[in-house]
Amino acid sequence: MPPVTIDAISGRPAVSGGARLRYVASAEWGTRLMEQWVRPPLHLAKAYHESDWAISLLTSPTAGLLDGDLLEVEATIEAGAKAALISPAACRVHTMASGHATVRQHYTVGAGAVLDVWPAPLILQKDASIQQTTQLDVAADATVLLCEVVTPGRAAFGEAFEFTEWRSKLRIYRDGDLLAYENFSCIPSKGDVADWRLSFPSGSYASLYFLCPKPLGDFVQTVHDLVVADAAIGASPLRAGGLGVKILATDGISLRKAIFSVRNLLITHSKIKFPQALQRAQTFFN
Amino acid sequence: MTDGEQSAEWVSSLLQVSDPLFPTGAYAHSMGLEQWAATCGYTSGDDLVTFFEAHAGPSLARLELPYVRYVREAIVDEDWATVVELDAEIDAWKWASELREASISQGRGRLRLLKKLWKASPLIETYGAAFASGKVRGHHLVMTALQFELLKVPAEAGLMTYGYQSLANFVSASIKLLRISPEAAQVALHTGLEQLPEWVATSKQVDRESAGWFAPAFDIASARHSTAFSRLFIS
Repeated sequence: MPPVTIDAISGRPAVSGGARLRYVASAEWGTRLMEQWVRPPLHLAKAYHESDWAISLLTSPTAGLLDGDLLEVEATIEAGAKAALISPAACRVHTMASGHATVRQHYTVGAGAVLDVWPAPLILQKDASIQQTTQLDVAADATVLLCEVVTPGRAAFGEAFEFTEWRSKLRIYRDGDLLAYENFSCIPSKGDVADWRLSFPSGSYASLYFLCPKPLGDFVQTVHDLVVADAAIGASPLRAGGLGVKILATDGISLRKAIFSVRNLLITHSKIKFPQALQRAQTFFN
Repeated sequence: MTDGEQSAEWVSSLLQVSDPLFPTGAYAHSMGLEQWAATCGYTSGDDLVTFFEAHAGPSLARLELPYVRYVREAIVDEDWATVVELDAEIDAWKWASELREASISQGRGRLRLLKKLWKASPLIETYGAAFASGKVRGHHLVMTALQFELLKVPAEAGLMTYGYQSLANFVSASIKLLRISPEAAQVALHTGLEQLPEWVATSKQVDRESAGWFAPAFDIASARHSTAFSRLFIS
């Protein structure tokens, strides 16, 4: 087993990059990625097309995020288009002596459009610090599945909650109205997330937001009826339609099963044909 | 020192609106404690103190009390657009729907009674009109800030009162949930209240950009309460 790196990686200039993407629906071709701008620390694979969808794979060609790095993703899914952004490999936020990395995401989803954001876990390594901002602007009849997965350290090395700070701000607007708002700073050394650490001392966290024009009915009960070993799942209606789901799990395998189960329920409920590639459990969990 | 601080006229009115006798329906809510106590296996007053120190206190300091302050400052400035904005923001950060609805239910109860007791208040009238037109949801936190301004309660006393009410509500629920004695409940409340000045002091340093609190396991438990097979409280 290689030794654990605990020293800050130094001598590398900060990188500032990301992706700006625009997906458009075409009656003839289905959804196509019509505009793209990509710059390291992101790499965008050629879009994969299936069932009128465009599926883009975002990966990082660098070792991960370091102090001063900035990653910005801006994606617009025009009316009627169906797009998915997935990442096959976890994104590490590395040990840093000071400062922080920044991730900004902004998704705009037009009328009748569908967006599935399913990234690999963000791994918050020892002494790592990150500031995230996510904004989602959604048309009333759009469908969105927004997922976020966070691992509080390198589980293989027994590292958990040794990161410096995880700051996150998320705003979801539907037709301009604020639907969900998360804003927090999590500093484990100050005793934050005691509830998480008590329940799942080295476990991972996932959050899903599901927006769909279809009424939810008793869908919360359906989600709560799921039985996944070593995982806790909670679902709650948002203030004006849509659903929030939070998951904590003992390890990556349990988290993967839980996310997979919840996603499949949500996809079935949406009555939208999702490509097979988006209905398989991803393989990035340990 | 302001006039409000020199005069004690506000004390009796504040006691009235803060008393459990004031019918807002708070007795029917545990505000997430019921499911969380079951999840954690709480059985004692010491467990309740742990809950205060790990969750309720920090949540007050970093999220709720700062918002009480922002709402009141907006009311003082007659900036009703910001009040409406803050009300929507509160509605959006209350992730678990039961806690959101509990807050609205108690806020509406408070608004209804304040309207009857302070009929000529322009503050109540303005907010009541916004509520009637659907511009605001009527969250308990907003109503409480409004009533503090209505009664001219000094700012610090208002924050302390909001903190007291929050902790006392948990204690009230815990007597039924944990089967602890009233004496043990008072010891737990006293321990929490000893730390309240520090939480209030911390809250004053929190600006709107950074106000927030993250407790995913508590959120999951709160969400699951809505479909729990058996329960004593509405939330």
